[in-house]
Amino acid sequence: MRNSPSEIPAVYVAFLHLSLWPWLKRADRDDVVRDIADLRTAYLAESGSRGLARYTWRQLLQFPTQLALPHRRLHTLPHRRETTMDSVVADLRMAVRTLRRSPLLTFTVVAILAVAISANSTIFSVVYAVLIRPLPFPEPDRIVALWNTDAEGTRSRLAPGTLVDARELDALEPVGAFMSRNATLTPPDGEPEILQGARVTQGYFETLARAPLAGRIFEPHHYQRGEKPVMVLGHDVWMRRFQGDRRLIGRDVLFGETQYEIIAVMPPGVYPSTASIEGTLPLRPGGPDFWVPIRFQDEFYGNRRTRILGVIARLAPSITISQAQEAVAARGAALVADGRLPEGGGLTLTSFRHEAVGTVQRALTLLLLTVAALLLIAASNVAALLLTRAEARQSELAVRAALGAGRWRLVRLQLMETLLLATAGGTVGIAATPRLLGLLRNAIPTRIPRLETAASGTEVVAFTALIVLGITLLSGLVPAVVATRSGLLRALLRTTSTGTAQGGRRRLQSTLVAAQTAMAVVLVIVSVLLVRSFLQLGAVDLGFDKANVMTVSVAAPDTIAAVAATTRAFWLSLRQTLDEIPGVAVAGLGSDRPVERSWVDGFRIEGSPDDSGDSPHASLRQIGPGYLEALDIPVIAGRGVTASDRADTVQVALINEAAANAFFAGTDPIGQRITIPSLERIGFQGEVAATREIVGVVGDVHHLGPTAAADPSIYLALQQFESYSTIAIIREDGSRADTAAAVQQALREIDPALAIRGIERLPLLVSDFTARERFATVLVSSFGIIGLVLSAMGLYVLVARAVAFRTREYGLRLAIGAPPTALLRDVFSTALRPVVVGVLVGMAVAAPVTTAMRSQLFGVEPLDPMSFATAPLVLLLVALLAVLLCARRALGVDPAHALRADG
Amino acid sequence: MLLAVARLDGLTSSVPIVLELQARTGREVAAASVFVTLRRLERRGYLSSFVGDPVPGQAGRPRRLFRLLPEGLEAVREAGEVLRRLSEGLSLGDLA
Repeated sequence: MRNSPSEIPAVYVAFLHLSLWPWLKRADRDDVVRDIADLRTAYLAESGSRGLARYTWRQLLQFPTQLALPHRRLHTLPHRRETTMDSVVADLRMAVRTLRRSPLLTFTVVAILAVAISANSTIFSVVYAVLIRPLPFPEPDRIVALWNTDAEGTRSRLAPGTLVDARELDALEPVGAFMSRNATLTPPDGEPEILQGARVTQGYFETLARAPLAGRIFEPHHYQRGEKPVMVLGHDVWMRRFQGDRRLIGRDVLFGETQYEIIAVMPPGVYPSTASIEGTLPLRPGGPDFWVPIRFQDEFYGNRRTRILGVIARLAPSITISQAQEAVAARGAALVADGRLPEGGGLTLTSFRHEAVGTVQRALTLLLLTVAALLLIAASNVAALLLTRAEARQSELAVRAALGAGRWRLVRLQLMETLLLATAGGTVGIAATPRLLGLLRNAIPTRIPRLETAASGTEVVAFTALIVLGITLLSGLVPAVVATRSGLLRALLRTTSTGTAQGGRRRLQSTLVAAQTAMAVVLVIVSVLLVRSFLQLGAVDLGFDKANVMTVSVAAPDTIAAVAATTRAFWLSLRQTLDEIPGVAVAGLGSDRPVERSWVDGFRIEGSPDDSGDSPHASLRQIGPGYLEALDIPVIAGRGVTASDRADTVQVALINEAAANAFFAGTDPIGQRITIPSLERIGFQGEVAATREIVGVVGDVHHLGPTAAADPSIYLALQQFESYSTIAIIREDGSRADTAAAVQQALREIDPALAIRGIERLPLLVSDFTARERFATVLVSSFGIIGLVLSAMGLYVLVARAVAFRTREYGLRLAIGAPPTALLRDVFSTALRPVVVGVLVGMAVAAPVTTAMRSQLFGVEPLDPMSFATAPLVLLLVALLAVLLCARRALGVDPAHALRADG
Repeated sequence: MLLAVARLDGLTSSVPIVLELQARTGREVAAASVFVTLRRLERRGYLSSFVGDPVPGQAGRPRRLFRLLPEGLEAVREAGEVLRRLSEGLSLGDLA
């Protein structure tokens, strides 16, 4: 059809109205249309119809450009060849306009991307802080930790004698050890406070090679007995209790009854301490409150039974970690051959980094993979949306192509739009990251090491920028290339938007939906598995009842602690006082909380051959009357510890079932006598007896959490031991809400000089065991849900578009009497094909994924049928919902309306 | 631009201006620039505009007409004066 000269083809009018509406009112836009028509008339009169279309487009495209830039001098149309920069800027401008024209789509895409990108930025900032950022020591990867192993492969700390053996190795230089040490800070004014510190040997600070913030660390003579007590202070305590006063260096500070000279302050950060190297609890933020030198008697360095030392070392120059590992294993084997280590035992070495953060590495890797999957779902979702939009823009693209825009230019224009969208999403994502991190830290009170240092720094911004570029290519390229396929363009020029060229595009969209569904299936399967595994963990009977139990760490005043007999009497009366507080059901004292590792020592069973190398080992704890009752640990045979077990009565011990089975199989342990040789040296006043009579067998306790087996344990009577500090275990009867305050009050009244360290609720401590699992489970399943929603959205868009494009067909079919069910079937088959394909692919992909995460699962098989059945079911249900929403529209089509709309 | 309006008897629609400029400069002129500039001059008070009466024989709706105001004329004179003074003593050939 030819236009009359002064008429103007509709495509130009449409272009002008669409591209100018942000700037001009209707009347003004009409003026422009008029002007263009007149210009065309003038052009025709002067040059004829040749080049008319090009001329028109040159004039048309200038309008949005001129209007977008408020002040431009009059300028002529460019005759020079555009530079790349010019055209990129033009594309960018064009992209902004295009996006402004479809605010809903823009908003949706930016929102989807913001969710996925912020999830990625947040998890990456955690991964960076915890795993990637180096530990704050020089060459941190050359620091290693040393362990004793037993026949079952369980690791334990080293005995002093073994430390000496390790020091002889050439592969390690230096080697240092540490053990925990509490001390009560008794300032002249203010409340006494129990500080958790470390006793360290020579080699500890040398291994870390970290310079103190102020002062100088221990010198060799500081480790000798009889020297003046000296202390290196942790940063936190220095700031909190001494206001960061540098004049503190060289001064004496009273800890308990002892004056310590403060010789240095260490910078803040992580340090190996007993908490950090347990294998159960990773690095505690802040490190020890203080360090003091270990001053063992020389003969203690011959002890190879009492495994109380955490050992760290630095690899000697030019030694690799595997060489060192070999050397350590060889030394272990030699010690076993000498009879200096028990049969089946040995030594092993791990990287300190692994000790510090290795336990969370797998969980974080899983999280990183999860958010990556989420990102892919979001990307394909956005790709599908953009593809839909490309359909709506076909005439614009066709016109541009007709005007001579190359395919690359058209692709670039669309990529520019995607880049803008992704950048917007990324910006929102980055802005949200600090908030999400805060949310993460608050929602999950956990001891993930270094989590508190996570922040959205440069690395996170760089990572997000990479994601934005990746998204641009992933979601932008395919729709752009498809939309500009030249054959398609030609076809589009001839047909209008109801044409049949949609087929290929919809196939692509179906593929995208299938891909999203597949990834969502994987995410959901993994989530369900983790949730089930977590429930299983929570269901494990730890061997004690945690409900309504709180624990308080108490250190006796120095006047009392000085004499062993008074201390014992003091503990008994303290326990009595606690027991009588209203609201307390039963109170007991012990050396450890039931959720802590204690020290492991060798012992002899009387009547068995004395073979020091092959002697059995068990963990040792001291408990007083009420301890077992407060924790509801059952006495299986014999009796528990009572108040009548005193220093001057029979020295008693209890063992747990694991110890009974391991060491007294087939015999009755009750009445048997055991000797723990190292006890002789532990007593400060030589009053601790090494030989004890077993009077009872108690239930096993999983001291190291639900995943660890209960280890053989020996409980000694607290009153037949020396301890200047204990843990009070208090079970409430639930009748009062303020029992904790009452306990604190009662302890204050006993003696103002009594030092207390925080009341902690046992359920909370127990939940620390599963903190990592909870962390991973909560996050992965949240991401799973987001992924599910996104893929449901993708499906909805697909089906909705399909229905919209076939409105006419449906209308016609309804008009000639097709039953609605036939249409429904049609809609369903459009929707369900990609979903079913996606579900099948997803399940196939999920199988190796879950198998790889076997170590993250507890009590659930990686190919758990229930999880594999649930996930597809959930997805199909969600898909069904999306389809039903669309189907309602399809059936609601008014035949007359549909036909008219298309006529 | 004001000069062009002045040349067109002080009352014209935008397309004649485009054609006039094209004819004078020998280059293709962007109607968009003219459109934008006219509106800017109008805002500054150099021009006034109104929708003209339908012209017999002309297709479509009536054009918007721009009229040169006294202020605009003054501005044209001033600009010409400045240009004249600047070019005094230079041999730049014809300055139109």
